[in-house]
Amino acid sequence: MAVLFRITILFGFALVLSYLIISHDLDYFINPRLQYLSVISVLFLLTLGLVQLKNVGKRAAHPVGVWGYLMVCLPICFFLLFPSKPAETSLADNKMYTYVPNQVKKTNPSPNQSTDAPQELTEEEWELPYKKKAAELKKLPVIILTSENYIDISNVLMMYPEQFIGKKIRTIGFVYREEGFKADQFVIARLAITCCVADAGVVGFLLDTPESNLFKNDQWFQIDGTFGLKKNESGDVPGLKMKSYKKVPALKDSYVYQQF
Amino acid sequence: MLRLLKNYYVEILLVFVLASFILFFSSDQFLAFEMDISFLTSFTKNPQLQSLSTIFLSIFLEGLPFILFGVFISSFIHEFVNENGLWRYVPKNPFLSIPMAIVLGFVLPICECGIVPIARRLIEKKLPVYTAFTFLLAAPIVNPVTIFSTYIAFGNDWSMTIVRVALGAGIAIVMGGLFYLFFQNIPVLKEIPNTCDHDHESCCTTDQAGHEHSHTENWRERVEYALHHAIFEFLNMGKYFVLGAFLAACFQTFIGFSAIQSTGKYEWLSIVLLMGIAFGLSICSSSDAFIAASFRNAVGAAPLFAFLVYGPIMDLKNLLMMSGSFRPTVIWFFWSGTTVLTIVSVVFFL
Repeated sequence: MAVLFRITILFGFALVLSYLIISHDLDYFINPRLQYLSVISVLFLLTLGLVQLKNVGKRAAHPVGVWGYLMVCLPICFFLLFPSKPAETSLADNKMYTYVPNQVKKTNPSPNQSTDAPQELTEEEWELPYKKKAAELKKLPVIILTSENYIDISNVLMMYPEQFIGKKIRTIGFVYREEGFKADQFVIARLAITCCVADAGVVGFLLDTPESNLFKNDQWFQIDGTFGLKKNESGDVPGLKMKSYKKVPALKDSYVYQQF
Repeated sequence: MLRLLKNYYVEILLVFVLASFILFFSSDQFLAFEMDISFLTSFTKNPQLQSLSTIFLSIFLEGLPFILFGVFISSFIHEFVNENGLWRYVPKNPFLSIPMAIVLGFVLPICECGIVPIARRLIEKKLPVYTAFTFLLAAPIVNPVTIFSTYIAFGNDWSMTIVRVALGAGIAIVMGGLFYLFFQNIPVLKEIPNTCDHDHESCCTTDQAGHEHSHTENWRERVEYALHHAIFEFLNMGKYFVLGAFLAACFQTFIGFSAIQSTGKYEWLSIVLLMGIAFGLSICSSSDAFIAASFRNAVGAAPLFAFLVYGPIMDLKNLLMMSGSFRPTVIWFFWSGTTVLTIVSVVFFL
């Protein structure tokens, strides 16, 4: 009887995964760049399911136990019970405002590596595309941040901030405030995802404006302004001097994905 | 009543799962019954539970390919690589055999879930104890799958991966040396009148039978046997992984990062805290990097590496599995040794 249960689990996982892949709902959970791995796991699961079907009569090779089966079913239950949608912005309350999108590599703690000569070389190679991008961006009259280029551009901005101070920027995001913010401060933020929602962090631009009370937490705004650096207890953070703003409906996919 | 439940639990569970599937696929009608059922599903509207579900599923979906990958590799090796052949080439000198055990861990990629029975079997076959324990410690970290997933989880960054592997291998070598000094002529295996302990009895009688068969059978049947074995390894690994992902998701939604952040002033406290989390979560080493990546923004490098190094070496489920195979003194020695070494290495090298 446990055999039927195993078959259900294996094909159930395969079904859930294919549903998520086909409906693109998987974007709400993991970075689209890693989805080829999920396609491979569907194939793995189907293979295992077929093998289990063929070996229906065979004895269990390892005991799994009731709690084991219950546990493995948990993801299917959660998938069925809860609608798959992007995490609400309330998720951001448990996250930390990281200012700079995850790992600009300069800040990485790697004492063993920093002295290596070859590492220096790759560091420069690694910087090249960013330099190119910076030159491109400087020519634009207004830098428009979209979901696709958000992380790339804010990386470049924070790597060479001195070249961009005073530059016009347009961005869309939700209003986010952290404990310890002054009354006239808020962040126009997005959730940045490296691999999956679990590693999401809040990224965005710090604004301070006397009209701050017009901006309620979790409301979405499009903001035009000029780029500048703001001081914060954790050092320099990207800031905007607001020129104009517009309330916009919340985006369907509130995440921005790390490109690699 | 209880006996009825006990005898038919699988059937009951199956009915439950099938019912959930049917409800899902007829969700339109499902919604039409609003007045009856809505109170049952009303808890799904809770934003906290909604985020819990999102985080839980995302950790699960992210780790699933790696679990499957690890299970496939380990099952095929289990079936196609002969353990007898492997340890016969291990040199007698500990200065050679301990580093070799590390290399073995790289060549024989087995997660910590599958390593305990194998280490036990190796000791039974008179492999030196220190070599077996070095292998036990090194294999989950110095493991191509773990290395690859750490590399992916930390945004294609080799430096994190290299430091993690170096620390893990270092601890494995030191522990191997300690076992060489203290446990050379002391029996480490639990004495069981029947040479087969419950682990073997349950999983390996069929294994052994399969092995005997497999040498005479053609490769297609061996592949099939390996795949069949993979199903059970997947389920057995999956249950700990799902539990770990669920606890991690609970931690993230209900406690959040503030807990870790508040300890930020005292680094030793967050080191101990993260080691405790690593111990309790018992996440497979091939996917714990993704969970560690979620702490990355909240803690410094030392606690993060404490989590990454301690997790694969020592965790709750591993300790339980070991207590079924080894004597209590060995387990106490193993536990305290790895704990102290992790703290020391993380504090002094980072």
